[in-house]
Amino acid sequence: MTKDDSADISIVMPCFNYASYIAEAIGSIFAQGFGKVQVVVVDDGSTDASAEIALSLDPRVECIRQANAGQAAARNAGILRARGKYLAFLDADDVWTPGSLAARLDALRDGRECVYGASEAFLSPELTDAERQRLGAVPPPMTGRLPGTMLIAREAFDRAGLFDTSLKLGEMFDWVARADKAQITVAMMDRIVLRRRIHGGNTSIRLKGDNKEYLKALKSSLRHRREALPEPDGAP
Amino acid sequence: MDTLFVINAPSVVSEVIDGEVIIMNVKSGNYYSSAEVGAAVWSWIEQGRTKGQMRGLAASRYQGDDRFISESLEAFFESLLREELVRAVSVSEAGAADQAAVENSAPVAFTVPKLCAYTDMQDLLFLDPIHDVDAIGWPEAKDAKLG
Repeated sequence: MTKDDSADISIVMPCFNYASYIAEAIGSIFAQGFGKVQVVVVDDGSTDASAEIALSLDPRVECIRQANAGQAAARNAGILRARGKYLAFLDADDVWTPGSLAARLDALRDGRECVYGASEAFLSPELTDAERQRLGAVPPPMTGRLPGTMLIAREAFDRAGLFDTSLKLGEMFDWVARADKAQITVAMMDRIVLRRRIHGGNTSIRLKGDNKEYLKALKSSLRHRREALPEPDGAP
Repeated sequence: MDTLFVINAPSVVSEVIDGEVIIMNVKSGNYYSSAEVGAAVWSWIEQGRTKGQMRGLAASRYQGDDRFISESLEAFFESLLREELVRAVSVSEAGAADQAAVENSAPVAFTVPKLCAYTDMQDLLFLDPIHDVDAIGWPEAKDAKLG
């Protein structure tokens, strides 16, 4: 299989048993209309056909298979395989909106190194009425520093470093603190670039109750913050 | 009457890590830290100590002017209430849990407890659906500066 060695943008996609969704996720990447993309699916110990489905879609899809190690480790494995000048991330259960990548690339034309767009949540079509009722109305769209809304120059990403694999959840708390410390220049966009699927099996909902992991991640981000900035004086 | 402080669970969760308490309010998207005396006071609150009992504990544990210590604790309680991390419940002194109000260990130096508040992760705390949707519902992003 021929790979495009001059990929401009590498998209890293961690996947754990998302055979039902991965084709839609990858389809939303190629629908962006960019030729020079490298999609690195990291199959994080799936027991379903996620990897086979991904590889069947397009020769620009590569797949790394590993024993289940969590999102941070999966993303890191993909990053180490990535060859693009830019890095982006998309979870295998989410989708990018049309024009998502072009809008983010455009936002970097002024020389900034990293951009985040907005995301909106949607309830996955297969949810039962009872599940929909329990989840209620989804929150409104919001700009935020999620991997799936980010586009970053590879050189800048490397200044902050890989995700901390000791964190089972909340690894972005830690990473954005390191990105700030590395003085990565950031643009924030209101445009919705990511649609996040709510399906009841989302990693963070699945692990709900395990708040200690988030608190550990916040403690880690505070450590980085203190290395870069003085403490705030009390409550806001 | 005495005052009991009840942590506003399940929106508010906390953990003491390396002597520092980290407190996360999933509803507001804010998080907080407090070390030393603040971490000790938070642990007392978790244990269900009343305000009166905490004053007694602080007076026995820490060196310093009792009035200054008491006033410092009061200011700390106020900051916890202001940030809606706890709520105050009046209890009769007889009804308060019977817990030791003094400590036997040697007193240590008192430092004014300080609650540090952070808003820099609001987007991540709002967007990561970490909340238990049964108990809390979706986060309220109306005050967020993002989006």
